[in-house]
Amino acid sequence: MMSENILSLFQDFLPSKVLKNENPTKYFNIDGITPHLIVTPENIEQISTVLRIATKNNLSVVPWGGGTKINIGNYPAKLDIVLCMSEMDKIIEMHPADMTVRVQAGTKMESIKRSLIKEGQLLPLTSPLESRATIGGTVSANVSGYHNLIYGTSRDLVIGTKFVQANGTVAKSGGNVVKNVTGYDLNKLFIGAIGTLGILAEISLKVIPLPRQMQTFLCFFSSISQALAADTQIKQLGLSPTTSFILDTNSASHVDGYKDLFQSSTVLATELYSGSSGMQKRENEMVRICHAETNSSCQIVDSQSAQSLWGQLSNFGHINHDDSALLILRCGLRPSRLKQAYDSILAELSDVNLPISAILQQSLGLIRFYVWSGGPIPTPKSLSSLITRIRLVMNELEGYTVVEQCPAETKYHCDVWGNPGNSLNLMKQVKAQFDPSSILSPGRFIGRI
Amino acid sequence: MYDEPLVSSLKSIVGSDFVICHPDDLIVYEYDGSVDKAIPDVVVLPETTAQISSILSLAHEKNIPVVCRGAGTGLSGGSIATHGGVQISLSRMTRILEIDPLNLTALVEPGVINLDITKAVAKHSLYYSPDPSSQKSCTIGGNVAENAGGPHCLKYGVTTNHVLGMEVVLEDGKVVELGGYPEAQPGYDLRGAFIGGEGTLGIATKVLVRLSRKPSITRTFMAIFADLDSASTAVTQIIGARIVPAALEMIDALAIKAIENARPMGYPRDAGAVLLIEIEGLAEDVNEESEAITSICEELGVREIRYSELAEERERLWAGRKGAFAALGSLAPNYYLVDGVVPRTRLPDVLQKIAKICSDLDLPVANVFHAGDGNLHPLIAFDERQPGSSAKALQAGEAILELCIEAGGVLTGEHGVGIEKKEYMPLMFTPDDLSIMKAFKQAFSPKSLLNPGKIFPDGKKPTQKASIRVGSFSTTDSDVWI
Repeated sequence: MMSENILSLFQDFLPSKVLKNENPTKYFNIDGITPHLIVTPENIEQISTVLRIATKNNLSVVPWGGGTKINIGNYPAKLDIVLCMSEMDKIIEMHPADMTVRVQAGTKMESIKRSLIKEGQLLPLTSPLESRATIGGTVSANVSGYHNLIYGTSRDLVIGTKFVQANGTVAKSGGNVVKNVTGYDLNKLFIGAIGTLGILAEISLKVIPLPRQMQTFLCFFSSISQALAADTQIKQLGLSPTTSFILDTNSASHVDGYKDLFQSSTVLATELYSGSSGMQKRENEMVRICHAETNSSCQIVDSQSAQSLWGQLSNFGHINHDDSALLILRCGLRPSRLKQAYDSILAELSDVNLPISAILQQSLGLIRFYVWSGGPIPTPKSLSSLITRIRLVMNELEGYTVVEQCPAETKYHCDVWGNPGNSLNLMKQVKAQFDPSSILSPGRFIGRI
Repeated sequence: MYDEPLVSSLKSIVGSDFVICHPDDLIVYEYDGSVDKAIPDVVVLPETTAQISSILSLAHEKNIPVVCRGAGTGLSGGSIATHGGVQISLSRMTRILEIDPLNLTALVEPGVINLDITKAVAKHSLYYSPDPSSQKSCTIGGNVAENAGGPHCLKYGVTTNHVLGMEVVLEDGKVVELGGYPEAQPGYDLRGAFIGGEGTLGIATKVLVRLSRKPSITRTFMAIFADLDSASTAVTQIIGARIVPAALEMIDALAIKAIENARPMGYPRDAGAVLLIEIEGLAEDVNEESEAITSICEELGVREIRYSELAEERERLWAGRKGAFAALGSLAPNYYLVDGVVPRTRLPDVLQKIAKICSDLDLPVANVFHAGDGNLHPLIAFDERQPGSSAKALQAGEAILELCIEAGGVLTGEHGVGIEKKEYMPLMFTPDDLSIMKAFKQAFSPKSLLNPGKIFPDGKKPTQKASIRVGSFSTTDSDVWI
């Protein structure tokens, strides 16, 4: 259907200011595909109207928050309408004493955090580019950032959702209290579902008191094994890390402001949380842990530099970053097998003759591999066969591999989500119940859901 | 109803020793922690996933309802076979299949008792965090079905935050894996939506749980206040001081009296409220938080504050709280235990209104509850021999639930909807909200054969006696989960 025709379907039902069928700078594009219509609803009723008409006319709709993670997932099988959530950006209610907040899904992460800080509270989710990223996008992409060792992810913090179904029906799940088992927990379905089950309109969240003290430590080691061992000790001693990243030696050159410092070391970056008197004890323990290994050292990062460091690490190699990686693979497996996976996959990747680096998050059982440009770019087919080989290695280790970033053309040669396992059929049935005509972000999810 | 071909097919699946169909034997399976009662047609005790899969395939083919049963400690009627049919008892699936101390996980069968996981991993200084008060008898399968909580979920979260994956048998007998390790598996979080499904979505046959490391120090405080308002203010101020205790529990005046009558804990009989506060972590942090907690309580005129970090003494401080339910038996021969949640700051107001509702109906009400997360457990005492008394208790319970919703809360924090609250669901959910839940169920269980008659209102008002959890106190009640 032509753009004008699509526009005309909506004109009688929505104010013209929320409809746009021009996309001059092609800002709204997903894997190079641009929509025919951009709708920027101002309220939940308008979202409902859009979806009702879209379902009736079999037009596909993709929700758009800040667009910072819009390129995760498979390429859209069809892209008619982008539903831009930027006007749904109000904090609906804040209950500092109850430590809950209810917001519209298009509210920027930065804006939620700014309001909470005034109350001495924190939403412990971090997205890259929080001035753009929205809570709806953060939840839908299941981005948890770097506080998740203590506070968990969206699945631990989202307590209620109001969403619009594909046919325009508005429904809710959960509530505004921190403990609730009334009915099915449908909130969980929307986390990480990248807009394939419904459009999130409102989200209720549990928040936490601002930690009294946070301190970032950098520890320098001569091997991954040393860093992993130190990381284990930090946890075993109960030093309460909120986050912990291990950067291999090749990562150093991609961290602004730390290139010289990190040079040729394996770096363990961790942030510890404590009361006001417990930090000294933690410092002593950190020094002790590091000095137990040969040629290692430890230093504290001041809070301003720490913020920039964590910002960089949670946005590492990301497409919105100046220094963006060609390929980012997220490999998940049991923490005890991380080292083995790291070695085996590096061996596979060495074939591409491009710079490669990796960041490990042991407690989460994650390794992200980054392939950087810096030589002839492999063809989509050869990248895809590389991904397949890595998946074979990961399958052996009972892990998974998700392609978080790759050239758009590569997506035509592989499913970025990998092997869906034996619950794919069940997932398809859930999708069929929520969105029978498959108009919501079609093709973008696992198994091309 | 006795169905010979069904019984013999079941016997061929699990062996004739493990199929129960004599009416005298079936009576044991008619109740759980609630007193909603219904007798299944037949009870089977499978030992493997393959057997459960065969049982479900058979039931699917014959359109027979299937209800699962763990330890039968549930409080909302979740394991009651309201539609008869086959009841699957998981009492033979009690193996701990794997403990992985390096990766902090354990893989267990659904009939494993909650506390047995902690016991099995204690040698590694690990434990399984969710701790419903029935943890000595309730099973992990039941915990998954009800998304069980417990006092320590204030800081660490409920079952859904500690179950990483499951093997599940679906209505038609298919076996699937939901979730897995590590977290953030690609795909929909079906594990998250399955947990708390009250047995209507499938049967979990293996559960992969997350284990936690024991903290260096745990310190328990018991603070006795002259009135409930000061205790409630203390709760708000402790949280406001950026402290998230591991547990924060409250006992009100009537419960204090009952405890002192039954098994004296040394609480002053005229005390208005007792707060139990537990904090844990590194010694430095615990000391700092202790000072803050003590000064908050003192400023609010606490009558007495005791604390300890020694296991035995902590146990004593908890004893009043843990034995509260049994002690409340001294108030009246029957009880109706209500489970509802309100935003924490609404507690003082809501508690007053609950007192008013019950005093208007001339019913004593005691409160022992999770103050930190606003999860109330009013226990309405009555004597069913008095004509109209059960009806009044029911009326009070309904009014309390309406009050919770009005205050911005929800119908249940940890006991589940089951039979007990299904007719109240429209208080909280619109028809559209309920429709999408039903649609979700449809994806898992198109024939609705699994645990029918639960969660969703069907307009069928059960008989009054079966409609509420009107129990009578007995010796086993000390384990009941409140």
